[in-house]
Amino acid sequence: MSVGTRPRPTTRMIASTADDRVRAHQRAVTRRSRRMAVQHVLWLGPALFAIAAVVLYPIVEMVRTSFSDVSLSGVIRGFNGVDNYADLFRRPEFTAILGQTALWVSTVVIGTIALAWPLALLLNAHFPGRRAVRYAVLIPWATALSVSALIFQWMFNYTYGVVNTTLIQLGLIASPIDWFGDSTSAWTMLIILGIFVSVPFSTYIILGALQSIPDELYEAARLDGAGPIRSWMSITLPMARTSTFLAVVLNLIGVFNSFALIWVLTGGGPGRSTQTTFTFIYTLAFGSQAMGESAALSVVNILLLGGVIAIVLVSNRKALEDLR
Amino acid sequence: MYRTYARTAAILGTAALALTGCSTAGADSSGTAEIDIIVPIYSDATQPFWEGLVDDFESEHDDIKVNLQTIAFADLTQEVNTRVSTQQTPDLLVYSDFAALAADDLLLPAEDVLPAELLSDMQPNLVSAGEYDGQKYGIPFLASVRALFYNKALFSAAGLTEPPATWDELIAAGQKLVASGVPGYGLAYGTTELDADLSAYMWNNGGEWKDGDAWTIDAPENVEALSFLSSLVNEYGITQPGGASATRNDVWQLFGQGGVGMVQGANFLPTLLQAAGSTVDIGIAPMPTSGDADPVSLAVEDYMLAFRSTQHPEAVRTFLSFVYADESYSDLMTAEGMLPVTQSAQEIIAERNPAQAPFIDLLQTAKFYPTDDPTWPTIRSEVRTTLGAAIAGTTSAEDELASLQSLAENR
Repeated sequence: MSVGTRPRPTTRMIASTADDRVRAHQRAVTRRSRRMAVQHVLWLGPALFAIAAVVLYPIVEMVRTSFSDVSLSGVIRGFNGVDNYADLFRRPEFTAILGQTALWVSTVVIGTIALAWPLALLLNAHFPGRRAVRYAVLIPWATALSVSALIFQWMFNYTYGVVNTTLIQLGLIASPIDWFGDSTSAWTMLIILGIFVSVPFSTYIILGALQSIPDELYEAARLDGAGPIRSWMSITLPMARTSTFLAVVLNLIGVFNSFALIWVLTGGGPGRSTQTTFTFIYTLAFGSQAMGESAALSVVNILLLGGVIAIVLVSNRKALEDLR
Repeated sequence: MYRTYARTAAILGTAALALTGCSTAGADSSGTAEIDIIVPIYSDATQPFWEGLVDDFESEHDDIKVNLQTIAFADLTQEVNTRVSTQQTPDLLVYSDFAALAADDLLLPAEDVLPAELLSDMQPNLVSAGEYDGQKYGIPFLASVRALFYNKALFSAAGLTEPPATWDELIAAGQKLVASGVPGYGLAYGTTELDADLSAYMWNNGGEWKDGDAWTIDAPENVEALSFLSSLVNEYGITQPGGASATRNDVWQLFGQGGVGMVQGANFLPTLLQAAGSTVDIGIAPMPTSGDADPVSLAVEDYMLAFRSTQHPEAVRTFLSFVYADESYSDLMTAEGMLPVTQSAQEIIAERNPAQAPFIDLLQTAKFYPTDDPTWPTIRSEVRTTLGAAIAGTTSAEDELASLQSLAENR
């Protein structure tokens, strides 16, 4: 038998085998992807379960509580519509606290970024002892917030604080200053500490971006005759834009939700003048024992924060795309 | 592939074990009655004393197991609230704000868990302060009482021989102390225990928080009392500087260091100050009055609350008899620097520690915050937040008390 007698594969046959192969391959892929899917679920399961248990469930409970009539001792007596929200918005102090929250978040976030940038540029430069300075900058971030707040409080204590005693010994003031005695100076103290503890993290985010900019870009710019300001404007800033944006968003969340700092330093006082919506949640729940209103404010707080972040995201589409 | 499956299974299995492990606690086996008790930490002595007490009790009663939970005061309200809303109330709780719990019908009256002779041994005004709706839901557990504390050395240096008995004398004494170079009266008006200051001055001016069921926070006597406190700061200038951000502990500390002549102190303050190394020679007197009323002292009472949810009321009764037994109860009160509520223990303490005797006397006629009103904690929180401004003089006493009154009426 010659080779030529062997039946030559027809186009149809080729097509069908190919089809079979493709189908077989597809089945294999489907099987594999199904198996992969099962595996993904198994792998993600514990994490998803944990998220559901510690994040989703409390949120559901919080929303439910915000629509419930809760007794002073904490017994849930049933649904009461939007009464808690109405009571909350009717509180005479509510508007002031919203304003205070806006003041707190905006000043600390702006102040933090404004300080983090020059600090990041400094830490990116080459100078002796840079490593030590880099570590030193991290300290305020590594320290627990309540500890920082306590140290700050003691430094500025009216009678025993090192600041007052030093100023008096230097003859700069005649009698001690009550740093937390009125709302303006209490806010100043809070904002300074707020920026102090937020700067390290933001600095490191920006520093990370600066370090990833290749030196060749600057060299090329120099060859093209760009000075330091021009290369900062045209290279550094655009290259670190996404990181700066990230620092702003993370700071917004952190500062908006800061509790320990304010609570330890001023307790929301004098009066209610340094309360933010976040500390007021606690005051409502465990001071006024108004658990329903407190839950309502928690919901309002999440919506507020979500809204602010959405605005920031939308206004920075470019940075958002870079993040993807 | 098999290896990854095996690993996944192992991880899931471990997670499942960890989860089920959590749910086995609290099971009741072999007929042992388990009771849970929550005690706030009053001092460093609290935890070791109660642990010893529970050990002693359990060795005498092997059919009862006591689960003791001690907790910081700062976390107490939160813990109670959480337990109530999640329906995990303990069997026993030491707490001051009993009325809201009683109003929700969560508590057992004293008669149900206390032997009759123990109940009748308790000081009557302490018992009646714990009544809600005619029932003794707040079982007296311990008390403290406030008085005017003065520094004897600073007084004689300023040429003063007697503590002030009236408001006018308080101002005069304060001015003499100031002239001798120390602040006269210690007054903290940051976010602090302003309910104690207002109570002491309004009661000694014939004012009240409530008249029967009606709140009388904005009564003229109370406005006068708050204005008087403000005048000590702004008109007479006899208070220590820096009061606007100070707390009770700040002025107590200052007093302990001889930095101020007078302060409203408490029976447990001498112990605190001595522990901090203070050597001030303390004089004690009733709080001064406006001249229109007999002197009244403020007493603060904490209650032993028995929850209706208890599965073992008999075990609770047995345990409470043990807790209030004269010897160990007096030891506990001595360790905490607090005043006992049973007359028999008061006699023991007065004999053992003569310094506490005058406070036990003051306690007999003392007055209490309106803790029998469920809304009191809400009012108290508002008092502490808002009245500082009135004392500092940035808002008016009348306005602040009027808004408190309307808050109280609308709760």
